[in-house]
Amino acid sequence: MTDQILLYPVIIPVVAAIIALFVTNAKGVKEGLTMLAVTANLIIAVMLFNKEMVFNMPWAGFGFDFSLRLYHFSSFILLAAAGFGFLVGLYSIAFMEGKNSLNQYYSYFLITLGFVNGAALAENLVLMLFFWEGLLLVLFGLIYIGHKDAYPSAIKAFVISGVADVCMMLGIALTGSLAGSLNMTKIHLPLEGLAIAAFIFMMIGATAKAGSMPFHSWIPDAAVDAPLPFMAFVPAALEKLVGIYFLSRITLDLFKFTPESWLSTLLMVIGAVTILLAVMMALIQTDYKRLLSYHAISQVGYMILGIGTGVPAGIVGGIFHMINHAMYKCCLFLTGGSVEKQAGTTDLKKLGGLAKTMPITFTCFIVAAASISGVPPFNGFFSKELVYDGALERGWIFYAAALLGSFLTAASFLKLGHAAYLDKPSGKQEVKEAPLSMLVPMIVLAFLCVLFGVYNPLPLNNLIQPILGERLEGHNFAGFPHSAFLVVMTLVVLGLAYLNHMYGVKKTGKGSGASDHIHYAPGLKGIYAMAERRVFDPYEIGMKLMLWLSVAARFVDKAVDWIYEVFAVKTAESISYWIRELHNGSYAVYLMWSILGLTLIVVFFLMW
Amino acid sequence: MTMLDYVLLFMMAGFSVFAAVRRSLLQCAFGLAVVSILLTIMMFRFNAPLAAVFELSVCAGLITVIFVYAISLSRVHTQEEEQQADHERKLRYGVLPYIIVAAGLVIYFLQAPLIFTAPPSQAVNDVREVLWNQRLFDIIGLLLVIMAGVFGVVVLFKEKDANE
Amino acid sequence: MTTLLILVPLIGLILVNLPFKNARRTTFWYAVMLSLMQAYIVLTSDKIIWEGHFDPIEEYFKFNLKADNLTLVMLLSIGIVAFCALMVAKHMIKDEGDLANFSNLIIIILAGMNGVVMTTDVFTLYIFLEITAVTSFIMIAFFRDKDALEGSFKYIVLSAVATVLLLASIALVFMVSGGTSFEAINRAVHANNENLILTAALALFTAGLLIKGGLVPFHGWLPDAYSSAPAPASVILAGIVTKTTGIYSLIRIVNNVFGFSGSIKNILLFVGIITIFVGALAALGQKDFKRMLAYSSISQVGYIVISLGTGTELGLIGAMFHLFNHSIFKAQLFVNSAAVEKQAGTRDLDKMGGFSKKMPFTGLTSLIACLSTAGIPPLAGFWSKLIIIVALWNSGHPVFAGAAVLASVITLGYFLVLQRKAFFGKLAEGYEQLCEAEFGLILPAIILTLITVAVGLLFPLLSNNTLIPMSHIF
Repeated sequence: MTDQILLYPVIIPVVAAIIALFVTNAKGVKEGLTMLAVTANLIIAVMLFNKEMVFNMPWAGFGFDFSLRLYHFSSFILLAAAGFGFLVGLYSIAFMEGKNSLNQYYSYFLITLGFVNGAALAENLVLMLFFWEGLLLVLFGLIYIGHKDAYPSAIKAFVISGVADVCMMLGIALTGSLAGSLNMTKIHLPLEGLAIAAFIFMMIGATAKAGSMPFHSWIPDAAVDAPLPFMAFVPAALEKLVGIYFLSRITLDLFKFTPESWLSTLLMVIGAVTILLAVMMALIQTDYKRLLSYHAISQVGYMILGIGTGVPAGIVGGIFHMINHAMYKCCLFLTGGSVEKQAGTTDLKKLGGLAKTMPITFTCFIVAAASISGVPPFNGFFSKELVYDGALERGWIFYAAALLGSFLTAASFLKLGHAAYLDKPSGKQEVKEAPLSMLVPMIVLAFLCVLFGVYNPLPLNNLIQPILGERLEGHNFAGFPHSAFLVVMTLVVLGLAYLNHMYGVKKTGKGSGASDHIHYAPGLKGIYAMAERRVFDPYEIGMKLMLWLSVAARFVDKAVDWIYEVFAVKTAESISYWIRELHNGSYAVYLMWSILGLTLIVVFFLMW
Repeated sequence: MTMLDYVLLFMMAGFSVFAAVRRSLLQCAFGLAVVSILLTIMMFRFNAPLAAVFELSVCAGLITVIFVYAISLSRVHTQEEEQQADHERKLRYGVLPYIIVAAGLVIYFLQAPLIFTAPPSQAVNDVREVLWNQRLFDIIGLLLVIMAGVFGVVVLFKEKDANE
Repeated sequence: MTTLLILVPLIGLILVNLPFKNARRTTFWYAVMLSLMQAYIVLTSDKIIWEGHFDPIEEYFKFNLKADNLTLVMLLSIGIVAFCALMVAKHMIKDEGDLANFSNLIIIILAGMNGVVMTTDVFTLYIFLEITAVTSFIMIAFFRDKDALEGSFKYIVLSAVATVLLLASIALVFMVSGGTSFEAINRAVHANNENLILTAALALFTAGLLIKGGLVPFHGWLPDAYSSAPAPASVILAGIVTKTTGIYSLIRIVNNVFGFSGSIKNILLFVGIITIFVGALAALGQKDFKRMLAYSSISQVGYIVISLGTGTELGLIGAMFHLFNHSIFKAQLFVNSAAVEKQAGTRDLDKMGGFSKKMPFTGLTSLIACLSTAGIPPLAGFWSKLIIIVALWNSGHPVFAGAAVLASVITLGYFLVLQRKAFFGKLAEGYEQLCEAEFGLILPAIILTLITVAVGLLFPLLSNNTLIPMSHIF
C-alpha cells in the first residue's frame, strides 16, 4: 500500500461531487454515484484504520507542502466521517427524493465529506486551513438550497463561520511565525506571550466550527431552513468531529496546554456557559428540529469543558463525548427527518401518537434520547461521567453547571418524546413507518449508541485512549465509572428531571407543554421572550452595530469616495488626455523621443 | 595606410553622399551597394576578414532595398512637393561635412580615453573559411532575410501592379 | 534539435513554394504543423535532446545554438502564439493566395524568432532580429491600406534607428573582445572592468533593444503598428514578436553577456516604471479596442523590465514568468478583438455594448484575460505580478513595488472600461443580428484562456517544478 492512498479519501468524494454536479437528472444516477463514492470512502477508511502513514508532495513552495499524515487520531476521524457519510448518504436517497437542487445537494454533500477528510488528514496548517475554508463554502451552499427563503440563514451561517475562520487564519499565521514551521508535528509551543493570542484565535476557530457559543446562532436557523440530512451530517456530526479534533490537536499537540493555565479555565467557562444557555433555549423549543439543534450546541459544551479541563479524564471524556454525540445526535436528526417526511411537520404542538405508527423510529429515538440524557448504560452516560470526573477535579462549580445541563437535557427530551410520540395527535393523520433506507441508518446508529455504552472498552481502548498516549498517565477509563458519587448524582438528576416533567405535564395536560412552567417562570419569562426575539444573538447584535457603524462610516465614506471617484478619476483622465495628445502620430516626434531617451541612457551610463 | 586606401575612403564617402541625396530609389540603392563593396574591400585590406563578412552580411543591400521600397510605398508626392523636398535634402546634407570636421576636431582635442586590451589577432584570413566554418548560421539567417524580402515584394507589389 | 528548429522551417518553406500543383495550398497546414510540433516538442521532450551532444546534425553544422530553460519557455510561447495567429489568419484572410503568403511569412518569422532565442552570438542575434523585423514590416503592411502602411513605416524608421544602435554597439564590442560570441564578450567584460567602450556598447545595445521592445520613450511606433496591422499580424506581433526581439534579447544581453551593474539596474527600473505608468494611463483614454490593447501591452512590458531591473534571481523568474503569461493573454485579447472586429465590423468602443449576450465565448474569454492582466487571483497574471512585486520589495525598492501595485489598479480600471463598453450592459443599437464568431476563431481564445487559468491554478506545482529550476540558468 503506497502512501498515495492517503489522497483517495479527499479525491474520491470531490471528483464524485464534480461529476454529480453535471450528470443528468435521470433518477438514481446521482444517488448511485453518491453511494458508490461514500462506500469507496468507507472501505478506504477501514483499510487505513490504525495505520501510520505520511504523504508529502511539494505544493506552493515557501514551506507550504501538501503533506497528509495518517495516525490513530486522524484515522479515527476518517473512519467516523466515512461511517456518517455512508449512513447519511443512504438516508438521503429516500429523504431527498423529489426535492429540488438534487445535483447541488449531493455535490456539496460529497465535497463536505472530502474536505473533512482532508482537514483531518492535513499535516500542514495551511493545507488544513484550505480544507477548513472550503467547508465554509459548501456550508453556505447546503443551507442555501434548503428552500427559496433560506438565503438569510445561509448568509448568517456564512458570516458567523467566516468570522471564526478569520480568527483561525490569524491563529495559524501567528503560530507559523512563532514556531517557524507549519507542520503540526513539528510545533509544540509554550503558552506565553504571543502564543497565547495564537492559541485563543485557533481555539475560537475550532470551537466555532464545533458550534459553541457565541458562534452558534446560525445552527437553529439552519435547522429550520436547510435540508434535514444536512443537519444530521454537518452540524451534528462532521463539524463536531473536525472542530473537536482540531481543538484536541491544539491543546494536546500544538501548544503546551496545562490544567494550571488560565486558558484552561477560559475553555471550561466557555464550555459550561454553552451547555447551560443552549440547553435553556432547547427546553422551550416547540419545533422538533430547532430543539435538536440547540442540543447540538449544548452538547459541544461538554466536549469543550472536558478538553478544557486538561486532565486525562476530562480529555478522554471530551473526545469520547464527541464521537458519542455525533452518533446519537445524527440519529436524533434522522428520526426528526423521518417524522418530517412521514407526518409532514415538525411542530410539536401538531405531532403526537407516532409511537404506534412509527415504532422503529420511536425505538431509535428512545435509545438516542437516553444516550444524550446520560442514562446508563448508553454511551452518553459514560462519556458524561468522564467529563464530570474531569470537571469535578477542577472545581465543583463546573461540575454543578454540567449537572444542571444534564437535568435540563433530560427534561427537554422527555418533553420531546412525550409530545411527538406519546401524546394524542391533534389532527387526523395517516402516518406510516419510514422507508427502509431511512430506517437502516437510524438503527445502525442506535445500535452503535448501545454498543459504545455497554461495551465501552471497545471505543475507549482502541480509539480514544491511544490519542493521549503518555498524557494518560497510566489511567484506564474503560468500564463502569469508578466514582460511585458521580453515578448516584447522575441518577438523582435524571430522577428529578422525570419528576419535573410529570409536574409540567400535569399542569398543562400535554407533553409539549411540559416545560411551560420553566418557560413562564417569573424572571425567566422576560429573558426567554427576549432570547426568542434574538436580542442575545451575537449575529443580530453585530448586525445592529454594523448598521450604526455604517451610518457613521457613510460620512467618512463620502469623503473617501470623493477622492476615489472624483479626484483620482479626474487626475487620471487629465494625465491620460495629456499623454494621448502627446501621441500625435508623427514619426518625427517619436524619433525625437527615442533619441532623447538614448541620449539620457548614454549619459547616465557614462556618468555613473 | 597607402594611397589606395585613401582613394577608397574618399570614394566611399562620395558614394554615400550620392546615395543620400539622390531622388531616384534605384540610384540610392546603387550608391549604397557601391559603398558596401568599397567598405568590404577596405576591411580585407586591413586584415579583418571577419568584419568584412559582417559588412557583406549586413549591407548585402537587400535590407536597404526593402527599407527603401517600403518607405516609397508610404506616400506619393506631387511634383512641386518633391522638388521642395529635394531642395531641403540637399541643404541638410550640405552641413554634413562641417559636422564631420567638427566631430573630428573634438575627438582629437579631447583625447577621449578609448583604452582597451588589443584584440587577439585573426587566425583565419580566408573569407571562404570564415564564411563557411565560422558564420554558417549567419548565412542561413541571410537566406531567411532574402526570402522575407522576396515575399515582401510579392505581397506588397502584387495588387499594386494590377491596379495601375 | 536546436538546429532542426531552424532548418526544418527553412527547408519546408522552400518545398511548399516550389511550383508544384497544390504545393502552395499546403503552406498553411505546414505552418500550423510547425507551430504545433514546436510547442509539443518543447513540452514533452527530454532535457537531453536540447544539449546537442552526439547529435550528428548538430555536429555537422556547428551552429553553436543553445537551449536552456529560458529558451524553452520562449520556444513554447512562440509555438502557441504562432498557432493562434494562424487560426486567426485562416478566418480573417479570405483569399487563398494571400493566406499562403501570410503563412510563408509566419514560417519565416517563426524561424527568425527561434534563431533569436537560441543563438549564442551577438551578430547572429542581430541578423535574426532583422529577419523578424523585416517580416513584421511586411505583415503589418500586408493589406496595403493607408493606416497599415503608415504604421509599418513608423516601425521601419524606429527599427532602423535600433539597427544602427545595435550595429554600432556590436562594432564597439568587437573592438574590445575580438569575437562576437556571448562567451567571448563576457570574458572581455570581466577582463576590462569599467571600460568606457564596453559601457558605451552596453548603453547603445540596451537602447536598441528598448526600441524593439517598445519601452517608453522608445514606444512611439508600437500603438500605430499594433492597431493598424491586420488581426493575425497583431496577434503574433503583440503576443510574441516584440517580446522576443526586445525583451528576451534584453534579458539575455544584460544577464548572460554584460552582467548586471548598478547603472543598468537603475536604467531598467526607471524605464520600467515610466513605461508602466505611461502605458496604463494612455490606455485609460483610448476609444479603439486594439489601440487600448497596444497601450496595455506597453504597460505590461514595463512590468517585465522593472522585474529584470531588480537583478535578483526572483526578479528574473518574475520577468520570465510575466513574459510567458503576457504572451498568452495579450495574444488572446487580440484574438478576441479580431473576433469582435470580424463580427461587429468596428473597433470603436463607443459604438459597442452588450456584446457578451451575442458573443458569450468571446466575452467570457476576454474577461478572463483582462482579469489575468490586471492581476486578479487565482489567474496566471496574479502570480507573476506577485513575484515581481515581492522581488521589488526584497531587493530594496519598496517605492517601485508600491507603484507597481498602484499601476495594476489602473490596469484593472481600463480593462473594466473596456469590458463595460464592449461586452457588458445593454446591447448597442444596430447589433441585433450580431452572432458569435466561427468556431475556428474562438478556438484559439479558448485554448489561451485555458492556459491562463491552468497556469494560475497549477501555479503551486509549477513554482517548484518549472519556475524555480528556471532560475538555475541565471
